Amino acid sequence: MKQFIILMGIIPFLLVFMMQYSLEQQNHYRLSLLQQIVYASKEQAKQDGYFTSENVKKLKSEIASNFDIAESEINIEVTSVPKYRINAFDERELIYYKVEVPIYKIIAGGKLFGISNEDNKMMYKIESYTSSEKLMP
Amino acid sequence: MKIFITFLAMLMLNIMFLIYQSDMNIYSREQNYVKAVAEECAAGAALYYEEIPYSIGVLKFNREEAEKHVQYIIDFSFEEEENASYKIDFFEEPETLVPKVNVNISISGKDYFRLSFLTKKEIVREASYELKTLD
Repeated sequence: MKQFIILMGIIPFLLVFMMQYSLEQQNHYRLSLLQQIVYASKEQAKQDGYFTSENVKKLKSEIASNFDIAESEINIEVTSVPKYRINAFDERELIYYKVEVPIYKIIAGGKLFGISNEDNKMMYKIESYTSSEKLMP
Repeated sequence: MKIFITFLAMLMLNIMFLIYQSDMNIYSREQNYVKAVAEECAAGAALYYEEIPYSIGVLKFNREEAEKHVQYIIDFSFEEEENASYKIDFFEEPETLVPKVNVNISISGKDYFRLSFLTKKEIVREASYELKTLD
C-alpha cells in the first residue's frame, strides 16, 4: 500500500517528462515550418523587389493557421517599397524582413514547477536581408 | 533503497534525454539557418558581374562587390562570438559553361550540446547559385 501511494505521488512528476518530449517536438516542428514559410515568402519578395501586401497577407495567414494563433499576434516588419537589382553593392537596395511569432508553452507542466505563463513563453524571431532580383524599369 | 536508486537512475536518464532532444533540435534549426544564410550570400553574390566582359558575351563575376554583399549578410546574421568565417568560390567561363558562385560558411565557438560526453562546436554549410540559360 505504501509503495502504491508513493507511485501515485510521483506519477504526475513522471508524466511531465513525456509531455515535455511531445511539447518540444511540437515546438520544433512549428519553428522548422516557420523557417520554411518565411523562406518561401522571401524568395517571392526577391522576384517582386519587395514584400507585396498579398505576400505579407499570405505569410501571416499561413503562420496563423500552422501556429493556431491570431494574425494580430504575429509581428511582421518588411520592406514595402520596391528595391532594384543594381550592379554595385548598396545596402539600401537590400530587402529587409523580420518575423516574430509567439511560442506560448516552452516547459510542460510549468505550474508544477512554479513557472508562470508569462515566464513560460517566448518570441521566436527570424530577421535578415535579401537581395532584390527585380530589374530597374 | 533499491527502488530509490532505480528511480534516481531513471530520473537522470530522462533528464539527459530531454536535454539531448532540446539541444539536437536547436542544433538542427541552427544548421538550417546557416544553410539559408549561405544560400542568401551565394544568390546575392552571383548578381554582380563585370560589365565590360559581359558586353562581349563573357560572364565574369564582380568579386569585389560580391565580397561586400557576403560580408554584410554574414555580419548581420551572426554574433561576434560565433566566429563566422566564409569562403567564396567563383566558377565562370571558360572553366565551366554554367557560371556559379559557391559560398561556404563556418561558425564555431560554443558547444551546441550541454551533455559532457557530446561535443559539437562547429557548423559548416555550403550553398551554390548557378546562372543557367533559359531553354
